[in-house]
Amino acid sequence: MANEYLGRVRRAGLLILLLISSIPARASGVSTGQLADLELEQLLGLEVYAASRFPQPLAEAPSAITVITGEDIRQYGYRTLADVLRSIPGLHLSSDHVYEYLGVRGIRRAGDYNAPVLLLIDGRRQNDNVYEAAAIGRELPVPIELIDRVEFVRGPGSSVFGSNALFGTINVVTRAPAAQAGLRLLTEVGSAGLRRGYLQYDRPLAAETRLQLSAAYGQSKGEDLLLPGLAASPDGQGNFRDIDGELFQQYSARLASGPWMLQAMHGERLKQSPLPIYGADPGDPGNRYRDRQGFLGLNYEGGLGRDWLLRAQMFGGYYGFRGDLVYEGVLNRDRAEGRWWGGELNAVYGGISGHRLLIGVDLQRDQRQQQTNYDVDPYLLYQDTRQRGLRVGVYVQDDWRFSQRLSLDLGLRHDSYSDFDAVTTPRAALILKPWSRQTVKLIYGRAYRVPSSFERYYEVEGYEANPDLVPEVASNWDLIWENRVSDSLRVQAAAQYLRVHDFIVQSSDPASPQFTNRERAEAQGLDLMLDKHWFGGARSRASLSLQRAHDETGDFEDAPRWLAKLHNSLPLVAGSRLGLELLGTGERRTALGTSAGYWLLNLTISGVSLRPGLSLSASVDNLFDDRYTDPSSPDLAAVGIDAVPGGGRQFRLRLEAEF
Amino acid sequence: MSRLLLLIGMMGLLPLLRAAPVLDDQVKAAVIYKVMLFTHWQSPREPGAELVLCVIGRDEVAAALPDLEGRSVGERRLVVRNVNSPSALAECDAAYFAGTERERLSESPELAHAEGLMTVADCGLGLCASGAVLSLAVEDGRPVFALDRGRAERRGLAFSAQVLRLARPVPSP
Repeated sequence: MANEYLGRVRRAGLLILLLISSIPARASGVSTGQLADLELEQLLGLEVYAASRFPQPLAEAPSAITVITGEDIRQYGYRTLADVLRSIPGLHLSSDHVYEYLGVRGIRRAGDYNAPVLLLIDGRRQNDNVYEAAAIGRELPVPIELIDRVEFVRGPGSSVFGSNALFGTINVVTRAPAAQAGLRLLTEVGSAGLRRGYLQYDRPLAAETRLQLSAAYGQSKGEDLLLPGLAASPDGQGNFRDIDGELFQQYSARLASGPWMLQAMHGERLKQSPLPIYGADPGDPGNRYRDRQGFLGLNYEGGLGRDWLLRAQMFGGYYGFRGDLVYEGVLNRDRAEGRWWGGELNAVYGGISGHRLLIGVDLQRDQRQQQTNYDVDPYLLYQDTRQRGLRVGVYVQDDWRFSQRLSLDLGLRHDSYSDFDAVTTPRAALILKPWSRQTVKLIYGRAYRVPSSFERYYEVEGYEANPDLVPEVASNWDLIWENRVSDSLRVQAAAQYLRVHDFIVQSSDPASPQFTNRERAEAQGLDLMLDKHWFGGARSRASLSLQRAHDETGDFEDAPRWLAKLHNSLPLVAGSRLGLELLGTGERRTALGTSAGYWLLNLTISGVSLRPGLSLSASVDNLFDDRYTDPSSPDLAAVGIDAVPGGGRQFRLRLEAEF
Repeated sequence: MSRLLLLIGMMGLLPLLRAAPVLDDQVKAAVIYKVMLFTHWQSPREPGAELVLCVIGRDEVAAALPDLEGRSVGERRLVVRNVNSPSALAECDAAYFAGTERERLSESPELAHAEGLMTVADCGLGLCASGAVLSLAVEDGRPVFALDRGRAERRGLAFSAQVLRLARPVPSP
C-alpha cells in the first residue's frame, strides 16, 4: 500500500518536471480582428472584482487571487462550483453525499456549511441567514454554463464585505446578456443515471437593452456505496444501493439596460441521503434534503461628473431547507426559512492624483430566520424559533500609489448588528514592484463571521442552543511574491499565517452538544504556483500547498498537510481540447483514524465540433477509479462511519447546440 | 506503470501543437476599437454612416488598425484613414497619434479644442500623461488604458460605466 502510494507521488513529481521543461516559444499571428471579437476585459487580461470591489489587474490586487474562467470550466468539464474550487491552491473538498464542504488551509468544521467563506453572485452576498451557508454544489442557483468566471480571494475580506469573508471570498460572475440574439441548448448524460439539460436565450430588446433567460434541469440516481461489514446499513453488510438520488433545477433572468441591471435567480435541489446522517434509519429512501434559494436584485452603475463612479443596488433573497429524516419508521421534518432584503451604495473617487478612493454603505434586514422541527405523523413539535436582525456596515478603502513601484492599499469597515457588538475590521496591503516583472505583496487583515442562527438557536436532540455565541475573528498575514518570468510564464510563492479567536466549534462532548467559542485556532501554509502558456496554445498550471491547521490540542480533523494540483489544457484538432486535471490530497485525520492520501485524475475532451454550432464534449472523472474517503461527521462516526467513500469513475457526455 | 506511460503520452502531445503568442500592438489596436464601442459622441461630426478613425504617423499599433476597418461602432461603420497633418483632423471622429507624432498632441493649436475628436496615443511601457483622451500602455505584461475624462468632457465625449471601471487614472504630468 505504502509502496503504491510512493509510486504515485513519484509519478506526479515526474509529470511536473516534464511540464516545466521549457519548450521554445515562437511568435506568430493572431489577427487584430480576432482580438477585437474578445470582450474588453478579456483583452486587458484577467480582471478581478471581488478583491476590493473595483476591478484591478491581478498583480495589483491587495490579496492572493485565483481566477477560473468559463473557458477553464469548459476545458476541464467542471460540474459544479465545488469542482471549480477544488482546482484552486490551498482548498480541498469533502462530501457526505448531501453537501460539499470546503476546507481552506485545512480548516473545515463539521456542521459549518462553508459559513467562514463569503459567496457572492455578481458581487451580491449569497450566504443565507439561517446557516450562513455558502452553497457550492447543485443547490447553487447558478448553472455551471452560466458562469463567466469564478474569483477566489484567499484570506480576510471583511474590511470590504463584512461577515463571512473570514478565510476567503468566492465571487461567481455570471455571463452578461449577449449583444446578439441567440439560443444555447445543452444536454448531458452520464454514469449513475445523470441526465441534465440547459437552455439559455439572449435577446437584445433595444439599442442598449438586453435580456437573458436561462434554465437548467437535471437528475441523477447517484452511486452505490459500499462500507464493508457496516451494521448501520440497509442490508447490514454495508451496501447502500439506489438511494443517492438527486433532482435539481435552476432558473435565471437578467435584463440590462444602460447603467441598470435587473437580475433574478432561483434554484431548487432535492437530494436523497444515502448515509444515516443524524442517526436516521439507514437506507430509508424517505431520508431526503431539499434546498431552495434565490434572489431579486436591481443594480445601477454609472459615472458621475469627471471623477466619480457610482454603484447602487437593492436586493431581496430567500432560502428554504427541508430535511426529511426517518427515525424507526417515523418521519421527522426539519425546516429552516430565511428571508432578507437590503441595499448598498458605494462610490469610487478618482479625483486625487495617485489615489483611488472607495466609500460605501450597506444594509441587510434579516426579515425572517426561522427553524422548526417536528414529527409529521403523529405530529409532535420539537422546535419552532424565529429571529430577526439588522446588519449595517460602512466601509472605506484607498488604493494609494506612491510611485510606479510602490502602492499601499488601506481598507476599513465597521459593522453594527442588532444582536452582537459592533465589529471593526481593517486591512492593509503594501504592494511593491522592485522590478517590472516582480510583485511583492505584504498584507495584514482582520476578518470575522457572525455565528449563524442555526449555531445559536438550534436545539433538537443532539444540539443545545447557545444564544451567547459571539463572532469568531481572524487575524491574517500574507506574504506573496509573484514573478512574471516571461510573457508566458508566471510563478508565485505565497505564505500565509492566520489565527482565529473565539473559534466556533461543535462540542464533541455528548453531555453538552452545543456550538461554543473556543479560545483560538491557527493555520499556516505555503503555496507554490506556476502558470505556463506554451507555444501552441497549451496551458499548464501547477501548484503545491503545504499547510497545517491546529489548535493547542493538535491538528484538526480533515486537514491535509499537503495539496498538489496540476492542470493541463492541450489543443487537439479543429478547436477541440484535452483537459487533464490531477489532484493530490494528503492524509487527513478522522474522528477515529485516518483517510489515506490520494490522487485523482480527471480527463475532459471539449469542443469537438460536429458541424457549425454543434459541439460535443466528454469527461471521465476519476479515470483510474481510485478509492478514497473523506473524514465524516460526529453523527456518522457514532454509527461506525468514520470516513465516507468518495465517488468512483464516472463518464459524462455533453452535446451543445447554438442557434 | 501503464498509467505513467499513458500520462507521458498525453504530455508528449505538447510539442506537436502550434500557434500563437499575441503581440501587444494588436491588442492595443483592439482596445482602441473596444473603447470606441463604449464612447458616446454627443454631437457627431456628421451623423452619417461612417465613423472615421484617422492615423497620423507610423508605428506597430498604426499598422494593426486598418484590420478593424468595416467593423460596426454602434450603428456606424468604422473607416480607418491615414492623414498627414493635424489640419486634416476636422474630417475625423477619432485620431491615433503614432510614434513621435504623439508630441503634436501637446503642441498643435488645432487640437486644443477639437470638438468631438477622440485623441489616442500609445505610451509604450507604463501609462503617461500623453495629452490624449485615450492613452494605452503595457504594464506587467498586460495592456492597460487611461481615459482623461476632463479632456473628453470638454470635447463632448462621454464613456459608459463599463469602460470607466476598467480605465486607469491618468498620471500627473
